[in-house]
Amino acid sequence: MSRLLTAENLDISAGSGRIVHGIDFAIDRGERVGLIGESGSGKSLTCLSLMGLLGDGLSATGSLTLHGDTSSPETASDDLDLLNADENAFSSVRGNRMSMVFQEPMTALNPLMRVGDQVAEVIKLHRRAQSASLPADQPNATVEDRVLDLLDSVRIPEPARAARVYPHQMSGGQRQRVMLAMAMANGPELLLADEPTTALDVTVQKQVLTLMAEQVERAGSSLLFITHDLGVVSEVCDRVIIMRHGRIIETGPIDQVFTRPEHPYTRALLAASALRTDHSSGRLLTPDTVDAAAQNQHRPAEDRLSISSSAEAGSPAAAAHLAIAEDGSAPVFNQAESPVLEVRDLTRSYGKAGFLGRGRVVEALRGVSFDVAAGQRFGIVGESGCGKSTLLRLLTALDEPSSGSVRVNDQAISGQRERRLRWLRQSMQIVFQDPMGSLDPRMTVVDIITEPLWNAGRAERLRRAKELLEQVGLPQGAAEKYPHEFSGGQRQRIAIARALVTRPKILIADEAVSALDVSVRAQVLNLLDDLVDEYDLTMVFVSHDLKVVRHSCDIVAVMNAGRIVECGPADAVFDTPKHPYTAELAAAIPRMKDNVA
Amino acid sequence: MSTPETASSTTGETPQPAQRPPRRRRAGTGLIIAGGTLVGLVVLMALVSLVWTPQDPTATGATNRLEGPSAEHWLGTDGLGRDIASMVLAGSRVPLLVGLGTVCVGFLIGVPYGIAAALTERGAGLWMMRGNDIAQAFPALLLAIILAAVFGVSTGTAVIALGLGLAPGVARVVRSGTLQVLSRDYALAARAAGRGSIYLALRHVLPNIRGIIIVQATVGFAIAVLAEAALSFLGLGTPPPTPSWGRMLQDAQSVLNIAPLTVLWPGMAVAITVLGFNLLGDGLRDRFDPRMERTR
Repeated sequence: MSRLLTAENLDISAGSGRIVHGIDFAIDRGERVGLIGESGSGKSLTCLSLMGLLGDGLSATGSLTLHGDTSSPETASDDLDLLNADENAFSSVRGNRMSMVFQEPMTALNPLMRVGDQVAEVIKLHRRAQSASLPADQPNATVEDRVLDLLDSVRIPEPARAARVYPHQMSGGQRQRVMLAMAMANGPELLLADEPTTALDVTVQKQVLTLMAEQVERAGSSLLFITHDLGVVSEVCDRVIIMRHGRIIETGPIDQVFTRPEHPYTRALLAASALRTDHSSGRLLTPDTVDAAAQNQHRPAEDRLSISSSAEAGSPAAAAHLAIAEDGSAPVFNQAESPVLEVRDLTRSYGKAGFLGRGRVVEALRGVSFDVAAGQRFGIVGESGCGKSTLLRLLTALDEPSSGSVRVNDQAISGQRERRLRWLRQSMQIVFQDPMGSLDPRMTVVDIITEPLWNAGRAERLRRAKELLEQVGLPQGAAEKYPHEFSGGQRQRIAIARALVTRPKILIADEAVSALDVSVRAQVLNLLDDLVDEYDLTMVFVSHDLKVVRHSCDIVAVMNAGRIVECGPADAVFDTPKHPYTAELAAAIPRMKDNVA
Repeated sequence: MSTPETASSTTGETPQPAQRPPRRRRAGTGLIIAGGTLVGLVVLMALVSLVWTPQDPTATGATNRLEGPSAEHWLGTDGLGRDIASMVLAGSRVPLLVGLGTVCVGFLIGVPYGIAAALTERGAGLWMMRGNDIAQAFPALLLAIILAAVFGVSTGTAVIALGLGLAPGVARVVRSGTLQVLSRDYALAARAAGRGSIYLALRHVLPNIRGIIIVQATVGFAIAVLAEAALSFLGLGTPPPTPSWGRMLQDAQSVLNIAPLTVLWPGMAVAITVLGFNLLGDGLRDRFDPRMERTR
């Protein structure tokens, strides 16, 4: 196999600060390489430097060469120095010899241009320059034919119709397929993919990954796949490069790196991604504890759960495992004697039917009934648009249902005036997904944490804030700082502190760890575990991440299209799913090649 | 939102502040300096005129009408023999006062109205904005003329009329800023913590829209200065004998053929003031208003 790309001593810096520190790597023709790292590791910048797309103020030094194809004499001397290439040289390479798929399918396509025209543009742009090298099997193919071919090859249904629609008329998965079609249009030698499936649901992610592997294989291209998700990498790559703080920590064939990692950080990352737990304590392994636990045998999270949930006294391990009936009638899931949270026939629709049937009604929730008993950890999983956010807003009385009821401790909370919900605001708290947006950037940490304490004095607030900071593992000095001074994981700790300041009975976690890096995720999940025990909380945990829910919850409800389709003990639901949707969801989780598998 | 930050180290999350890339020169600095200098100059003129002017700006003289610049009269005299330099100096007081008053009136009405419209239930809030649209469609100068006709010509009437004219625009901008803040999770968290609308408005909304408010105030100031000059020019602003740039322009208009320079000085004063506030406003907007943030 001949070399396609060589990077030697590649440095990327912003002003005087170095972000990437002299990394070396190489990609062979036809090789599929995964570049893995957490946020701030410099993986995306490395990728952008390959395309010559570094932003202003960022500069790259070292050497970066795209080699010509040595298998044919005409192209053998096509070596290109990517760091010193001018814009003209790049224009003929981008979209042609190298192309890229971005993370966000919503913004990567021009919203005002028909999809087919956008694909055609990429073809036309480079066809002029290389009209001699048209695909040999179809020398007279028009651009239109080629567009339809491409759309068909990424399995977009009815390509002729799809070519005429605008991007907003397509789903996220379809848009990412169109991006892939555009990237593959000219048979690139190197395809760069920067977190291409991170914004997609798991079932869609699986389809796109399969498709990408297939396309790259067919065109004989190399792939550089950038991601933070080790499971996803296992699906598509042969070799991985692990980056951290702008340095390459470890590199090698994927089987070797994932089964016999050499660097401690790689081990920590692997453990955190698999949500592996320490066998003796039942806690998730974090970067601090992974090496200590390395002597002990690693066990996957499932083992711990089955052991502890059966061992926990009074835990309602015998909860019924129910699925929605064939005829669509839904039972009351997880029925309990005296539930803390009781939801009955809840529906919520948005929009109005409008005059003469114009206007649209969107039914976000279609008859949801379940109970949550005291002390339970109740997980809700589902893909985007399944109604889990709507359900959450109704559970917290931040929105009114169209019909049905929510009762907390046997008191109705829907349709009540805000004045009458004072008790609820003290006894039920929420942790949000995005730790950036859930903290007011202009308030100090003390003010943020004590916001729910509306009738406490200044001294009392300060005392309580410090107490909580300690409980969530932040230094007391954090109290007078502002949110931007903290990292994502620390901000989420602050958000958790705010949620616990009133000593609530119920904690609602809305994708509380989804925005965090995997190593931080394990720490925050451990923290939540501890605090749920300490505060004797009933937790409702909403997430799209099945692994996390399985680890953190006793009971899991699977939502799809506004209803709960299945609910039962976590292990039972995932191991022996009763509803086809649950089975599909469980199968779509990217599996890591792993020594415990 | 996604500032590059250090990934937490293997030893856990050490509480070190997120590392930022070296700071570029902040946006709008040049504009702020240029605008600030011009505005500072005008404010200085107003302050100096309080204690000293070259001549008495109101003293007329039949013998020295329309003189050219001299040692005694730096910028010459006008049709009534008044010293133009002194009048330009003293004339800066009224526009600045009117600008300040207008911005105060406009914001005391516009900010609460805008926040309230954003906070109230959908339907009522939308009706509030429709009312706002009607108010905005009404020209402020016309309002000023009506008020002047009803309550008599005075600086106060001008301030109130211009303030009322400014408020709807402010309310509109403040409402959109408030809606943005309310859509963030921290506003939702405050509601879920049982906090009421007034708390939300004071603790979350106001601090987070202060940039927008400052920008609007600066731009409003420029508009008010220009409008005051226009009103005075029409004889509906500050009544004589208090010197005012607008009325100086009107006086000069009648002698334009004989002494064209008399128009130049007050005209320049108005232009410099408005330019100064506009530059300052643009600079502050570049710095504060996230919607104008350049992606460089």
